[in-house]
This record gives sequence, C-alpha cells and structure tokens, in this order.
Amino acid sequence: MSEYKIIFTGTMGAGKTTAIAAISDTPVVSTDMHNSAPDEHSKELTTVALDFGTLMLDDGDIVRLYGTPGQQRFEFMWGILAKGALGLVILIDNSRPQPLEDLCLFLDNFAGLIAEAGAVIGITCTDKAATPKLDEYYELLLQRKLMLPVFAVDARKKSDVLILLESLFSYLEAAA
Amino acid sequence: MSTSVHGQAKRFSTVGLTQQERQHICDVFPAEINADGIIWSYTDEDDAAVLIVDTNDPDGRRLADTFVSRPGRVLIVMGDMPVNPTQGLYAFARPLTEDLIRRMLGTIISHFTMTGFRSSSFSVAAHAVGRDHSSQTRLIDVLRDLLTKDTDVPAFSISSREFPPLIVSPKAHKVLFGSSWEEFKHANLFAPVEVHDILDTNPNLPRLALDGEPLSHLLWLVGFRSGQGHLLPFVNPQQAFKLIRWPSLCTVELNNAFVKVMSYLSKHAATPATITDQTGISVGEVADLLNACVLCSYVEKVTTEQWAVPTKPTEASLEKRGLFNRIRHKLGMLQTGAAS
Repeated sequence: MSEYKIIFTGTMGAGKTTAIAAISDTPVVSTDMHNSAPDEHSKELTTVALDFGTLMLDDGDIVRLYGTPGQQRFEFMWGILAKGALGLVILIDNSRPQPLEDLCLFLDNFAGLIAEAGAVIGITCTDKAATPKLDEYYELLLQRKLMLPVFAVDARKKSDVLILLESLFSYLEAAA
Repeated sequence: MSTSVHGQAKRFSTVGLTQQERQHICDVFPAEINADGIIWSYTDEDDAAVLIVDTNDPDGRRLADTFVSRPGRVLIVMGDMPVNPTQGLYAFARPLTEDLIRRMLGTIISHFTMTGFRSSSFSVAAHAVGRDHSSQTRLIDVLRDLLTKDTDVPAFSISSREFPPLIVSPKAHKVLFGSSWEEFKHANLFAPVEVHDILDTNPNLPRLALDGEPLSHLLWLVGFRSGQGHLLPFVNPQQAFKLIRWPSLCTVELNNAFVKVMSYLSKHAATPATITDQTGISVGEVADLLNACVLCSYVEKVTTEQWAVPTKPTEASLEKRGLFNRIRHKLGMLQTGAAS
C-alpha cells in the first residue's frame, strides 16, 4: 500500500476546507479555531493547523488531501506539509484587498513544490469581485516566468474541484 | 442595399457525397422555402448555383476547382479542404446533421443577400467566390486580417445580419458587444460581415474603454468555432507548436480536452497529429483548440530542429499516469465525464 498527498493552499476563506470536503471519502478533520485575524477575513472559524481528508483507492493506496492554514503567520507549516506532495492546488479569494499579492505569497512559499511537481490555481469569489480578471493573474505568472493554469472556480461545486484536479493531473502527466 | 431573394428559384448540386447525405440535404433544403423565400431544387452540377462537394472524391476535387472559376457560384466543401483552400467558401465537417445542413443553408442564403454587390443571374453575390473578396467576408477573416496589421489601426465596427454590431479596438485590445457576451456566444459566426470605420466622436468609444471585453475573448471564440473540427488555412498541420501562455477561459466551457491539450502543449512542442497521439483527444477537438490558440497567439511555432518526436514513456511516468487514472476512476472523472 502506498500513500500520496495533494496539498490545497491559499488565502483564508478561499475554500480550501470546502474543496477537500467535496472529494474526501472521510469527513474532513479540521483544526478550526475562532478567527483571531478578522482583518484578514470575516469568517468566524478558521483553520489554524491543517485540514485533512482522504481518498481510498481501489487497490488500497491512499491519497491524503491536506489543506494548509491560510493565515500568513502559519507559513512555517507550509513547507512541512508540502514535502513529497504530488502537486499543489492554490485557491485565491478574489474579493480580498490584494489577491495578486496573495498569489505571490503562495508562489514564493511553495516555489520548491511548484518547480518539482506543479500547481494549478483556482480563483474563487469572482461573483463577489470581478477584478482582477484572469488575464491579470496570467500576466503576473508570465512576469515570474511561470506557466500554470488559472481558472475561476467555485470551491462549493464538486465539478469545479474536479476540473482543478484534472488540470493538475494532466499537467503532471505532461511533465513526467 | 440588400438583394431581395423572395420567391427566387435556386438550384444546387452535390458531388462525391453519399446517397444518404444527398438525400438528407434534399430533404432539408426545400423545407426552408417559407423561411428564406427561396425555392430550392436539385440539378446537375453544370446548372447549379451552389455546389456541395466532397473533395476527397476525385470528381469532387476536380469539379471544385472548375466550379469556382465561373462567376456567381457558391462552393461548399465537405470533408477536407480543397487543394487551394482560399477558393473554398466554407468547409463543413461530417457527420452531416440536420443542424449542419441548416447552417450551410444559412451561409448560402447570406451570400445571396449580401449588401453592396450586384447579383449574378443566380443572385449569388459575385464576390463570394473570389479569393480577394471572400477573404474579408467572415468574422474569422476580418479578425485574422486585423491581427496581421499594425495595432495602431483605429477602432472600427463589424456588423452582420446575425448579430448586433461589435466595436473593436486593436490598440486597446478590447471589444464592445452590441448585445451581451452571452448572447453573442450563440450567434452564427459564419455569416458575412461588413467592416465600418467609426469616428473618434462615436459615443460608444468611452463605453468600449470601460465595459469592453478583452479582444482575446472574441478571438478565442471565433477561432474555436470557425474550423468546425478542421484546421483553419493559417494553421499548418505539419507545424509544431508550443504554448506560451494559458488561455483565459471565459469564452468556452472548460473541459477535459482543453485541459489535456493545453497541459501537453505547456510542456512539449507538438504537431496537431502528435497532440492527438499523446493526449488521446480527437483530431477535431485538437484542431478547434489549435485554431483558437494560433489566432490568439497563445502558441509559438517551433522549428523542426527544436522539435523532437516524443519518446516512449518511462516506467516512472507510466506509474504516475496509472496513479492519476486510479484517482480519476475513484472520483468518477472517467465514467461521468465530470471534467469532460
């Protein structure tokens, strides 16, 4: 039996816990606490350590789904979680004040995993904030010489989470 | 000035099509009398104003070339493009569904009613068969032409019978839709269009700056839909391409084919045939995606020297692929087409 892991990271409130819950076989184990950084996001509870879900494959292999805490003060954990991961899903809340800068933070902190494996970026909350447009995210990636897929998604929709995963798998297969 | 077609008789012919395909066309064309005011009848190719040919058939190929050399004729090509693709008006893919036949008919009708050109005895717009003029009649051709010019071209409008006018600014790289974007997505993009200059004082120009969509959205949609499963003439089937940026998908529904093809091209240069071999995505879907990518300049051409035919996958990559397929299977991505 082998174990693998996929990392979901991104800003607080972008939908990491929801995305994992949409595909996990087991109820997501979350270490939620009352949000002590209401200036970052208004939600009441937030993940302070990690979210954890599992996918049990037919042959007994397990894919572990980890959601990192979204608050920047927990960035020391991101590298620990990322070690040995198959790939990375970055979720960015478009309605936050500086979503492009948010993305830069995660690109920097997960640069190793992105270079070794790959990543896909999902932009959420585009219904609340129409800008920045996807083109602006692509421009940012071009400036950083990264060619990663960026999609507008709703983390509450399983189909959107699946297209993110399909995109990640296709990207990783092409890179192999 | 539009040419009235009401009550006119038109004759059409087919060469190289199967009996079933010909019957299908014969069933649909006369049924459109009331809708378009043209009485359609079948004839042999010498008398026809409209010829629908399969250029894979030797007779069809020969007749396609001679037919368009006579003025006032409309040629519709089934299957592959003719030897000189600039002479074929439109290429339609198989299978020949009723929807496709109706679209074909709509294309022909719009040529019969094109403004500003004197009708021939068959009421076919004379410029519809010539290379010089026809290159400007479809939205795809107008946009292609636009992209080969300097981006300092002033803003202009594009109008058609099939959709409200568009205002395009190459300089600002924006387009303003006369209707909503959602409505435009379902418009007949094969209809002839006219291009008009607009004045700097046009009140829509400030709106264009504020509410305009990125021009790439229009280019993607038109590029994606214009080939109908075939590479457009400006996309060389022998050419290898590599993705230089991912398309912003606002215009076509995100699907499995898109994700697989773009992922592959983001890592490898490939010809259309190689993309199909490596991704399993059909020739037609690859053609549609490549047409859009080339029109939007999302891909660059790669020379033969820089391009290597893919080697056999390694054991490690096969193992990884197997794992991803098992995850896909687990999540129902293969069976339900959730991502397809």
